[in-house]
Amino acid sequence: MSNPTVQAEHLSKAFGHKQVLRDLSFNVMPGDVIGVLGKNGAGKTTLLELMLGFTPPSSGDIRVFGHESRQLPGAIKKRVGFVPQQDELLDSLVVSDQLNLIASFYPHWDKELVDQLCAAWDINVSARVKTMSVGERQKLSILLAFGQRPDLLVLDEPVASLDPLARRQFLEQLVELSTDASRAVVFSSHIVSDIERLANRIWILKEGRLYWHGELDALKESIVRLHVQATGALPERVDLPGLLSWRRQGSGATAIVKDWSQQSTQAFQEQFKCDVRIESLGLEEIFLELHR
Amino acid sequence: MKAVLRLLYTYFAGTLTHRILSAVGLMVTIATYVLLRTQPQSTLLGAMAFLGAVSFYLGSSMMPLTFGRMARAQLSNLLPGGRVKLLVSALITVLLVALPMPVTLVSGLLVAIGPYGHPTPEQIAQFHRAIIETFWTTYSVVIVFCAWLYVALWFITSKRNTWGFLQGLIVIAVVLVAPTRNIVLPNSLMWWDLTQCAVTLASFAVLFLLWPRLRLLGQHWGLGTGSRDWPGKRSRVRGREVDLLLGTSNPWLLAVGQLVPVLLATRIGYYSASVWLFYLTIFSTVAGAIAGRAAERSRVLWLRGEWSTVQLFSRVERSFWRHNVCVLGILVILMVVIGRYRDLPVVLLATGLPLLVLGTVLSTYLGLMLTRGLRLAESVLAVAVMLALMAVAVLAARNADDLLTIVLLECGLAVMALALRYAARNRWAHIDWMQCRVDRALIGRSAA
Repeated sequence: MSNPTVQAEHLSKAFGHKQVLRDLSFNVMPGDVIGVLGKNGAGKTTLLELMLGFTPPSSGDIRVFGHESRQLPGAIKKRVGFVPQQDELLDSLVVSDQLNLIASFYPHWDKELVDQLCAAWDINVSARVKTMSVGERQKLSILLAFGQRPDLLVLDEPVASLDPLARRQFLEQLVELSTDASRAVVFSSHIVSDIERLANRIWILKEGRLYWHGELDALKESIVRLHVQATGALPERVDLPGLLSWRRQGSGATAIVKDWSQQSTQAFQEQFKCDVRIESLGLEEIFLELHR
Repeated sequence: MKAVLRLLYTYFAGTLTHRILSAVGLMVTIATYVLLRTQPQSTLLGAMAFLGAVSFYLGSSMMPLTFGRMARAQLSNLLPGGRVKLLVSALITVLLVALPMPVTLVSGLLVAIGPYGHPTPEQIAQFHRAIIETFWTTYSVVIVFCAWLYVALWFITSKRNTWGFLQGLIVIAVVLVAPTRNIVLPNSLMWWDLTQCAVTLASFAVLFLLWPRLRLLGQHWGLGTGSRDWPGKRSRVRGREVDLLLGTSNPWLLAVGQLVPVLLATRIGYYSASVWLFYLTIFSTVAGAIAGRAAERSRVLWLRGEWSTVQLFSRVERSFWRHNVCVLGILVILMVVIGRYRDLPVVLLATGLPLLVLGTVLSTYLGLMLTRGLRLAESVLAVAVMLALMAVAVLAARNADDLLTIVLLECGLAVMALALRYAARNRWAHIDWMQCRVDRALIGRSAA
């Protein structure tokens, strides 16, 4: 069993009186591709920044490659790549100078990969950064993070400004990078389809807590929609374990439930004398239902 | 080491303009050094030495902004040895940029006052000691001077608002006053100057390396969570919409803010009329400098109003003059008061006052001309205008009797101002807001 890339225990973060994250414990293992989901202000960026040691936790502990995230030594930093939400490029430089500047900090910079990606992503290396569009700047930021071939890649909404084609190219590259079992990727995004396509583990942040962290398939199995059709009238409200929502329409109803099992179906059918059809949900629907 | 070298390359040769300025600075300095060893000293050689040092300094002017941007970037916390390498690169830049001045000075001294005749070994040793002492004294003073000028440049270029200009002005005042005093009264000891220099650089280094922790401490104590622009900023502001959008609604911040450095200089004491006029002329350009952001800020005005681009220019121009008249008014009053206090000649005041007005007019229209950002042509023009203003200021102070020449030169500057206004108006008529978009770095900071 390999050591966790990131390990957090009882992690909390507050800004003044505002509690952003509460008592989070998790591990990021090599080979994990983790998609972080949450509403605006759920604490996604704060969580990623805690992971990289940009801000200290209010309580708890977070370690990256066994080192406290606030005290990462240079050798560990060389193994960490980051794409911020707001690019941090130097406007006055040309792209090649910007690439060379960041490359000079890393002894194992993969120039071949960077050149190849520049060509594939249509990045003009002689263009001045100032003249690039928002999407082009985002591509360049991603490229800067890929160039060092990091063992831990953290991306904060990396595809927000990319067009569909660039998004596809980026995802393909990320897939390629994540096939290496020694690497871990943690990325936040509002584009649920990307997370569904790419991530093998999902973190859902809700009200500062890690509402769900686990494999995508397990999440899909855990949260389902029930289509209920009864012969008689159904009650206005029902008391079910793990019930997230209940909508009655005449003698029918739909319910979203968590941790549902075959035994639960049988018990429900017997109690209300009804037929129950179970429907699996997509990640987007799960996310919406969880936040309804 | 590779990263430090790459950072140095970025500072000195990041853009074509900086490459040219650095190369010119270096070549002129080397040429001056060689000529000083072979030719008798002259005004031309002195001007060359000054030009070389200034050009080399301007060549590195990307340093404060690049350094500041990288130091504030989250990425710099993740770059291996990021902050240390940034700091080392900045310190090396200061040491390099400060070098031309003492080198050319010592080179000139070696030839001009070398031990003549048949000096004894003691005399030669004494002479060498004096030369070495002069070198280190000058070098340490110029290092401190350059370091503080970078800080001023960083304030001005990173914020590009009134508060940024004010902070820059205060730093400029301090660096103008302290070394000038040192040059006028060269009675300081080498070790004192070196210690002063070492303490300044070491304090900066410690502050920079500890800054992330200090910032956290500040946040912990509830500091720095409010406005980042200036203290006491009100939640409600009054004024014309045009002025508020252009940032000209409150001229009094800058007008009163000027008092601080000027009074500081008066308290510590300037010793010559030419320094005073030079100093106040530089100040007169500050009010106009904020016009450099007018084009990018005017887009909202264009969307709100029903004006043509030429009418928009007129509105913007009026707004800046409402602002600048207050700032200039205070500066003129200061000049008269200082003139009385320092017993400056009446002729100097008579020629100096139009010069202050011209400084504000020229800088305002230079700023308004920036409808496509600061490019090479605008940079060259700005440097030329500043040099012209400084030259006339020095000439007016030194040759106060030659009134006709000074009046003619001021008329020339007035014609230049008219030409700049014409060019600015023309540019605004064809303004393209895609080419004067707000700096993303500034957006990022205000978002943060």
